[in-house]
Amino acid sequence: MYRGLLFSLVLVALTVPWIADAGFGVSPPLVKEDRLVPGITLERIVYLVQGSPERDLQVELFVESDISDWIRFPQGNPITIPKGVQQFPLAVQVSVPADAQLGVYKGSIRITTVPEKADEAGEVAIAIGGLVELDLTVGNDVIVDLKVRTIKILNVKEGDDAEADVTIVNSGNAPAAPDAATFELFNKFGELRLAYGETQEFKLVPAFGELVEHLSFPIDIHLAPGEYWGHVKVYKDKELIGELRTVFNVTEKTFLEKYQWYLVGALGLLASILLLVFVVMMRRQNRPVYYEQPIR
Amino acid sequence: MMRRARSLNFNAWTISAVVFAAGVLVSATIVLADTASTSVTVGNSSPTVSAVSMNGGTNITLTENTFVNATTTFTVTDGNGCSTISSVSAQFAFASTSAALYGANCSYNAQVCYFPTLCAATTTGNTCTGGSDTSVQYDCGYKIWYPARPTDGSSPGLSSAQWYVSATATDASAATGNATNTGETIEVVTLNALNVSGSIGFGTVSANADTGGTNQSVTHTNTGNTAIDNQVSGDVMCTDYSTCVGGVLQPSQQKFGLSDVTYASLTSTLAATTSPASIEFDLATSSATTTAITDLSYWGIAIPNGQTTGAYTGQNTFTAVAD
Repeated sequence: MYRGLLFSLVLVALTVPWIADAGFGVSPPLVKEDRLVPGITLERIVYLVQGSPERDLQVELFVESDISDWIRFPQGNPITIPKGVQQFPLAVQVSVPADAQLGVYKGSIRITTVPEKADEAGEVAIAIGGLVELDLTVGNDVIVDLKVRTIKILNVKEGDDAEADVTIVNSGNAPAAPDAATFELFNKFGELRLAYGETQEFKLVPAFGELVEHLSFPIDIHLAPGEYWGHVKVYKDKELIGELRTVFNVTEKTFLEKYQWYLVGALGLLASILLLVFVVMMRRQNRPVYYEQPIR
Repeated sequence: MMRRARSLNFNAWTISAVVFAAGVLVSATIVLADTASTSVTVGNSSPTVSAVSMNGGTNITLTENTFVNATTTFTVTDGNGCSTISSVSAQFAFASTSAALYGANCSYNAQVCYFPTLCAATTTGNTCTGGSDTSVQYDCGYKIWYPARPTDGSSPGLSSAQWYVSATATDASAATGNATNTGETIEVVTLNALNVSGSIGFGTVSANADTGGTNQSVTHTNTGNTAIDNQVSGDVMCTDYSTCVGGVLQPSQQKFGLSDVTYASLTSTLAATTSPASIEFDLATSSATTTAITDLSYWGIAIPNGQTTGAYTGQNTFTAVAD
């Protein structure tokens, strides 16, 4: 009877429950790639976001899929998002085994935060999580897909070649590069074409990668200081994949920049003369001395 | 004969002298003409906008329940000199297929249309030095809020759309120039996000009893840019959480629902953490930053007969998933 009474008592919780108020999100909530091939590695960034990151936040990652051994988190697991970081870039690496069967693979990454009051007695702590869907297709087609994300025509010094930075995105599954880029030079009003240059020197952009390519366009005129218009076009397989027409500046070279080669030449000449003098003096010093023998 | 010839020569000298005198006279006239005033009217050259770029050409990742900063840069050129540029403006707008959808004048809307908080001539890039300098770069800063419509590959049904910047410059003669960042593809990335507030403290409940009509409530708010449901799951509750070697309460003892009813009428039983259940909350995207889209869930618990006394602790997890 007494024992029964004991077991009929039960749950005690805090009289003043802790009020949770937390936000959490994932962006994007999907890792989708339909151009994978056996043996390839893909890395995607998923941002873990919080509007009010008022404390360090521990996050645990669970892969719910048959291909969990393909998925890696280079930053480790669990991870801690430092206080104050609103957008944490979580790297998700997918390594397709060389012997993977062709097909569609799905799953998800469950992301769970550890709540602030996880160990408060008598309370059900509230945790917030996120879900990132995985949608991966492994095939055997080689796909080339290059896009130009940005083009920036750079200011240059007088007499230099025209230059541009081009950000190239390779969404294909094999390394690739554009075929050519052209540069048209116009006067400061953009109405009179002054020169033309092109380049075919590109580095290969890795599969699923991105690269900023610094391009130099040799042109057959001396660029004097002033404003000019430039028009850059980037081609792949004879198709235009990006272009930009805008104004840029050619600035005057400093004295050193202008005459550096003359200075180098003059210094070289001076050094040669000094060396010659030094050699002559040394030879004179080392010349055998003949003492005149007194005649007896 | 000789005299005639001399006479002819004399005439030639005379003609030469006359021609010379006439030349001097003509020259004198030309000199006089050189002092005449000339005038020309320099017409106005409309400004040209080029190199329009948003966020450095990268996609915009939002932050839940607040804003992120983004910047548009563009170059304005005016043949009359960059110092004649009187104002610039820009807008960042969602477009289902082309930049023209909202034209150059959309109205502010946290989901589809933004204006810069400030546009200013750059101090680090192409500055306007006055005189014959014709070009200058401007930077415009935006606050992009969490309801901004997603257009990336994960967005529900909007992946063919994108966002465009339209930049306009006006000069002192009120002539304008406009351009968009048509060479770029800028996406606003899908954000599934949730804010949960409230508490689940059941108080004291006897064995072989439940919480009846005394529910705990939790507020769910959509703080992302897509409509969401929730996945809900829970750990076992125990007196030594989270090692749980002592007495435990299974997650299935907890029930919840979207109506504030008695425990017996709560519609959903809490699933274990290993198999979260999706619940139809249907939390739409907020249309304005001042209008939160929220829903309430109500929670109760039942204690089995014979349960050991003690303070039980647990953890329930709420996850935002696409609706």
